[in-house]
Amino acid sequence: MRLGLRERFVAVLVVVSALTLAVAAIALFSPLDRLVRTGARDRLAQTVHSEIGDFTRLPSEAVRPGSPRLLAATHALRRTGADVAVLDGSGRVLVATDPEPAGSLAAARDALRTGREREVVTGGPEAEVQIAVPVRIDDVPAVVTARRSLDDVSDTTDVVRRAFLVAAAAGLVGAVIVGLLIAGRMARRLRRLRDTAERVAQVGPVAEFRPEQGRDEIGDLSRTFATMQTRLREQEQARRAFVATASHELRTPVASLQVMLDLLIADLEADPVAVDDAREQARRADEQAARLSQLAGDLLDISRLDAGLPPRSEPVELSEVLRSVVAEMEARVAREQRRLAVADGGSARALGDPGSVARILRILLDNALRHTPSPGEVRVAYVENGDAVGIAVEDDGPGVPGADRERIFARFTRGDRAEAGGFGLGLAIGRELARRMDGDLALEDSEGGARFVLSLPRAGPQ
Amino acid sequence: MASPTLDILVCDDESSLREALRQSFEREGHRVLAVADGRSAVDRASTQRFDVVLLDVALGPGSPDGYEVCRELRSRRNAVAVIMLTALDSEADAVLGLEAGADDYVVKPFRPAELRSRIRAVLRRVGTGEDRAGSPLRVGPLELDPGLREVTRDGRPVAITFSEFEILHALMAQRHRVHSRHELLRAVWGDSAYRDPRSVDVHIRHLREKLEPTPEEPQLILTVRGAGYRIGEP
Repeated sequence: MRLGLRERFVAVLVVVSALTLAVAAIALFSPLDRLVRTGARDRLAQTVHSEIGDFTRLPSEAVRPGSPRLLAATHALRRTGADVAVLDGSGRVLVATDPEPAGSLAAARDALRTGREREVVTGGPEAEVQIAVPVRIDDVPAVVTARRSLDDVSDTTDVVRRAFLVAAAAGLVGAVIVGLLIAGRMARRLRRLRDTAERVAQVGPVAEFRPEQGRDEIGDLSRTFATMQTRLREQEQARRAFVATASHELRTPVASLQVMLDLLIADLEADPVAVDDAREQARRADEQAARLSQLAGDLLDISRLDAGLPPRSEPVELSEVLRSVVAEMEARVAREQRRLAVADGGSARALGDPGSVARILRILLDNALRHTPSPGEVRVAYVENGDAVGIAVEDDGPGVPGADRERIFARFTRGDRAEAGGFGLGLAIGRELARRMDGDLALEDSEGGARFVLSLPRAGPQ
Repeated sequence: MASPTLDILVCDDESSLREALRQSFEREGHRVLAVADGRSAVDRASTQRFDVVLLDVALGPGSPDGYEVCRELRSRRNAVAVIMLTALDSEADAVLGLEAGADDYVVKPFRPAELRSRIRAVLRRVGTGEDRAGSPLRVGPLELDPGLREVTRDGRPVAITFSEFEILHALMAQRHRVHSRHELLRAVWGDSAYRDPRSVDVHIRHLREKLEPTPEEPQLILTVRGAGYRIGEP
């Protein structure tokens, strides 16, 4: 059986309350009993002492068995509810109010023998207190004993005990009720949170949820939950926006590809076949397909980045990576009649992922070449700054206007005049890759065109 | 064959699509103006009349989006048919375009034939003058002149879009019949590919807003539950 929070809480509350009451009972009852008995004994002793004069004032003649004056002297003591017996010096019972005085005689004879007052308190169901006081009645030795049952004492403790039990029962019932109320409210609030979490799991972060105002931990939890939900909602919105943009960016080139192929078919079906037009259409369609595959690659990169796979971290020979990327581009550079000038130097080694570094350099060189007029020059140089090493790529293009300097690093944003064929993903990918490697990709001030600097942490000595 | 010529405005931020569409339409003998952003589209349309406007929804940062451009064009009444090109194929997005006053939408990527069938439908109405012989139709306070493509209510002209005009024309031409949504779609676009029949509902609602004194309790354009629409006899 599964116990809910409410049941557990109440059970714990009841057990703790019961234990507390039990300890209190133990701590209370035994001293109380002792206290009440001692009190009874002291009271009896006090009475005996104060009334003892009734006996000492008697003449010696009264010291004989069955003496009416002796019996009369016991009157004051008897009023307190005690049985009284008087013994003479030889231990003979002179008078006894108790028909069976045997029980009190031991103490009396003890007192007679020692000549000292004797007190006896017995426990158990027939608890009683005895006091035997040696006296001299007109110089005749005798012993006065008073014996009193402690029944009324147990009555007192019984009353207290009963009152305690009633109070304890009321306390336990109270604990259960209070426990049920508090735990029920807590459980209800938690259930509400759980229901919301379930709704979020089902319909997503748009599920409606108003955090509660409680100033306790559950209130905190509720507010934290609301914050989390808001963050999720924002992420979901960002994701949707990305998908919408990606969908637009993917579908539009496909649409133009379709129109191009349609034109191509028309050219081929014309009589006579429009060979030149057809060739031109086919060339454009080919270009378009290349752009699409580039876009597909970029989107794949973005989704890999979003998946959060950690990059490798190893020493990277920057000059080596740069050399291979430049080699890839040589044919294009020559074809487009631009120059790619790579500065000397650069034995620096960075810490990072060689594949990512190459990807960033490809993005930077591709951008720079696209924005540089033909003929023009793209300059690549090594930079070092303290613990950072990197590569700067500078072009002869029109540069980036102030308003666009940060914007161009966002996904799917292009510079104003970037009709040049990009999708606005390269710099976003580049910057994210660089930052994953604890480096950065930034646009720096320059006189002419744009100057992008990739910086990475320097690798330690081998 | 003296093919009639349409003035077509293409607005898309993707240069390759702009270029391809221009070539495609010019081959058919139309005049094409292609612009990259919404503002130039509105500017050009304010000085020149276009028979068809092909409008991309997402026009890139810094430009008003296609919906806004469409609303702007509608408020200036100098475009006949506005067709949205959208990459968002959810119905909600499509309805947004219709709400903004578009006549129809085409989801990217589209087959060029699909787009051409839309153009032909517009062409049939405005280019060839085949309707000019038709005499004005009158129902209650409404009058529709197929030649002038004009609708008046109590003698006052009402600004009306291409699809709205065609739907009203179909309803008024056969006023005693119930027209299904599919029939009305065909009346606008001819027999081309399947289209969402709910777009008819959006056009009907806009018509009621423009023509009925109390659009919530229509007297002129009546809904026939489960069947379609018909014109109400006053």
